[in-house]
Formats: sequence, C-alpha cells, structure tokens
Amino acid sequence: MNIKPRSALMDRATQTVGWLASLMIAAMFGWLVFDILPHGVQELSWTFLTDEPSDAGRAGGIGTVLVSTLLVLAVCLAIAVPLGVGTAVWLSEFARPGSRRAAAVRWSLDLLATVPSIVFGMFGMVVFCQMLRLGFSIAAGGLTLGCMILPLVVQTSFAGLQSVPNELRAGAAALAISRRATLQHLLLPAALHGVVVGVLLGLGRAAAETAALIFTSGYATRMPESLLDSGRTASVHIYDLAMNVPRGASRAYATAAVLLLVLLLINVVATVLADRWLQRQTARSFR
Amino acid sequence: MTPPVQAATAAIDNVFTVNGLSVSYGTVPALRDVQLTVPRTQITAIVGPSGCGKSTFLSALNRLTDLVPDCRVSGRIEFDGGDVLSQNCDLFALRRRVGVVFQKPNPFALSIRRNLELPLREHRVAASEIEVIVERCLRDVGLWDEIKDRLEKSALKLSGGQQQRLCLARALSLNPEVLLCDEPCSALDPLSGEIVEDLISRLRERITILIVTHNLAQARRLADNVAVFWQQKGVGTVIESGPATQIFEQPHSEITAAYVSGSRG
Repeated sequence: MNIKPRSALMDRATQTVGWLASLMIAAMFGWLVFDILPHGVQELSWTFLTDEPSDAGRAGGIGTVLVSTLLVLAVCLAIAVPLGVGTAVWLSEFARPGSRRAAAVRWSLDLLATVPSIVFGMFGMVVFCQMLRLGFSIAAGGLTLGCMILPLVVQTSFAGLQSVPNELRAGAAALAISRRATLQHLLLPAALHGVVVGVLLGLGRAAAETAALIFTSGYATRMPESLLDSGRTASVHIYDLAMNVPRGASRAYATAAVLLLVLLLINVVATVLADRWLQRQTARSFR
Repeated sequence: MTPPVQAATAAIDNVFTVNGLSVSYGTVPALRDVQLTVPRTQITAIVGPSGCGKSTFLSALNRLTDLVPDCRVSGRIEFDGGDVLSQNCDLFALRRRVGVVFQKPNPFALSIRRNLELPLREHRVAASEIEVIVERCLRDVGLWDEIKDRLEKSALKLSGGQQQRLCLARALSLNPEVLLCDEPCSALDPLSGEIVEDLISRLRERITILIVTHNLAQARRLADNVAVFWQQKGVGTVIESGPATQIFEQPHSEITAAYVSGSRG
C-alpha cells in the first residue's frame, strides 16, 4: 500500500498550516498589545484615570470618559441582553421551525448584522435623539449600540440553545417538567457559555464603536449627571485625539491601553462569574 | 392490508387501548393503523426490526410526539378510559402517570440529588417528602449505597449503567402507573444491562411496563405479552400481538414465526 506515506504527508501539511494560522493570530494580538501598552503606559497614572480631560484631551485625564463609556455599555447591555436572549429563546424553543414569523425574524437579524455602524448612528439619531426626544445622550447612544449588537447576541445565544441535545428536552417533557423550568434549570445553563461569548463579543463591538456614537451620545467631556446627559466614550475620545488634536497621539495611546485593560477585565470577570454560577447551579440542591 | 392477528383480550384489564393509530413525520408515514391493547401490571415487549416505528409508538403513548414539529398523529389511544390524543388531555397528569426510560441515559447536567428533586418540585411534592422519596427511589434501583456520599456531585460523572439506573429512579420518583422503556439496556455494557433488566423485571407487580427491545432473548425472559412490529409497504404496523408464550411458541403469522426463529428481521 502506498497510500500511507502520502496521507501522512497531508496530515503533516494540515497540521503545519493550522499551526501557522494559530501562530499568526497570537502574533497579531501580541503586536497590538506591544504597540499600545508601551506607548500608553508612560502616560498612565492615577490622576489620568480619574481627572476630567482638559486642553482638548492633551492634559487632564479620562475619568469622565471612563464613566461615560461604562454607562453607555450598561445601557447597551441592559437592552441587548434581555431582548437578544429572549429572541433566541423564542426562535429556538417556541417558534415552529420553518414558520413565516421565525423566518422573518431570522432574516431581519441577518440583515441587521450587515448594516454598517454609521447607518445605525443615523437611525439612532433620528429615532432615539429626535423622535423619542432623548437628545444627544448616553441613553440614546446606549440604545443605538444595543440595536447594533442585538443580532450578535441573538445568533450566539441561539447557537448555544441549539447545541443542547433534544434528548434533554424529551427527557424533561417526559417528566412533565414545565417549559419554563426546563429553560431555567436545563436549557439556559447548558447554553450559558454561548450566551456569555455572544454578550462579550457584542460588548467588544460596542466598546469599539465611534461612528454610531458621534451622532447619538455626542462628545461632551464633562462628568455626566444622568443618562440624558451627553457623554464621550473612550473610543470617541481616542478617535478625537488621534484625528483632530495635534500632539494628541500619546494620550490616544494611553486611552487605548486603558480601554484594552478594561475590556480584558470585563472578559475575565464575566467568564469567572458564569463558571461560578454554572457550578452552583449544577451542584446545589434546591433545599 | 391484512388485519392484525390478536388474541382475545375481553376479560383483561387494559391500561392502554390503541385503535387505528397512524403517525407521520411531515409527509413520511411512520406508523399505520396500529391496534394494540396493553394489559395492566404486566410487561409487554415491543419487538421488530429497526425502522418499523417502535419508538414512535412509545412516544405517541404519552404525547412526546408533540415535541416533533412536523409530527401528525391520528387514530385513538385510550389510557384508563381517557382519550390521550384529545385536545383536552391533561399532559401534565398523563406524563406523571406514564413515565419513560430512554435508550440513551439522559441525566440532567445537575447534581444527582437535583436530578431527582427537579421533577418532584415541579409536581409540587412537599420539601419534607422529597428527601424521603429521593432515598427510596435510589434504594429501589440499587444506587443508594453506591452514591449516597456524593449526591451533590454531577450526575454526568456516573458510569453509563449508573446513569441509566438514576434515570429509572427519576422516572419512578413520580410514582407512575406505566413505564415506557425504549431499549433501556442497549446502550449499556452487558453487566449494567443485566442489572437494569432485573430492575425492570422486579417492577412488574407494581406497574405496567412497555419495553421496546431488539433482543428477543430479553423479550422471552421479561415479557408477559409481545407485540411484533413490522414494515408493510414501507410503513410500520403491528402484525401480531398476544401472550408471549403464544407469540414465541405458536405464532399465527408467518412473518412472526420467521422473526422469532431468527430467520427474518
């Protein structure tokens, strides 16, 4: 048999290509981190993290920017997670596969996912800022981002629910366990990792967004007093420093470094919390 | 189509009486015109080659067919005088009274204790009773001594045989009158399969059991009654049913005779 050497060669080649691809991914991430962190770290200090920007961002800090960023993300998640997970649950567990309504929902989500963020910005400005009279505000920006990441959250949560084997649903139904309890105790915990990944991806996209926010939450650098105040997020701040402010680059790098660390932190915390919750959910008794 | 050959069952107390049952998935028919009676507190084995609708038949009995989007069920299934296929059938009560053990052990990804607690809580069993029932059911399936110290551990850590016994305990915890077993031993190693078979055999005095099996030797060992499913023109149906001794010793149908002697199927 002379098949063996050739297939062994193919195996080796496949392995090598896979290895190179994964190496490239790691290299890209490394490059990003090593470009941003050394440039940014020089400017980092406690006052940079807490102060309000001054002199168009060349002086002062990014304290108010961080607060605005977290508020926008909070509004965004508050709208995208319940709506997204709810839609995924409906699509996966309640809608009849192949029904017109399910097809229409899935089709709209696929379309929404391809809409450029600047179009979401225009939409947010018209609907949230003007029609709903929220003005240039953190609420309007967060709602706009919520709409933007909705398809992502729905799709990953849906995939998570679909990966739960049907034997589990049949097993629960055979014991006359209600659909609500089946969802709460069996399906959602099994789908949780998919949901968390979706939310984190969405969060990353939302945190990176500038175009949609310039139209909706604006770029005021003062401390927001309510969700109806305008607020500048970190990405908008980076964009402004890098593009509009002469000698703003080092501050842009510093802000980027902070944003990177904050996202990393959220990622780790979310994963740990989900794992913990899952462990408690499986091990705990009802008593 | 030839009418199914059936022994006289007039004097027997039947739990299920099935008449003219047909099931299809979308446009594909799976069962046509099934007639069968299931006597109370006996073991009825459902035998026949693969793909003749045995599992479909079981899932129609407690309306698990509802879970399959395109599945259409027609005909009549009477359970204790009530109409199972009626719109008004109380599925919650039906499924509590008719339990299932599936082919592949399907414990929930919860602790061993919670696997038993979840259905009991759903059926509003008082918390004080739950603990007693959990222990009793685990003793019933011979698991208690093996796992009493790790009830808080994940049920997925158990071996396949233990998982299947846990699933049996879970089904028994609701005190069903009927237990539907869909090849409960076929995914297990021979030793575990034997343990599960013994457990099912010991339940015969308490509850009515319907067991799908590919294993004719198992059917001979366990069954009081046997129903032979067969494909006719590509659709499953019952070709013969009756007391096990009759089916195995003096079958009326030639197909049954060939099947039980091992020359067909």
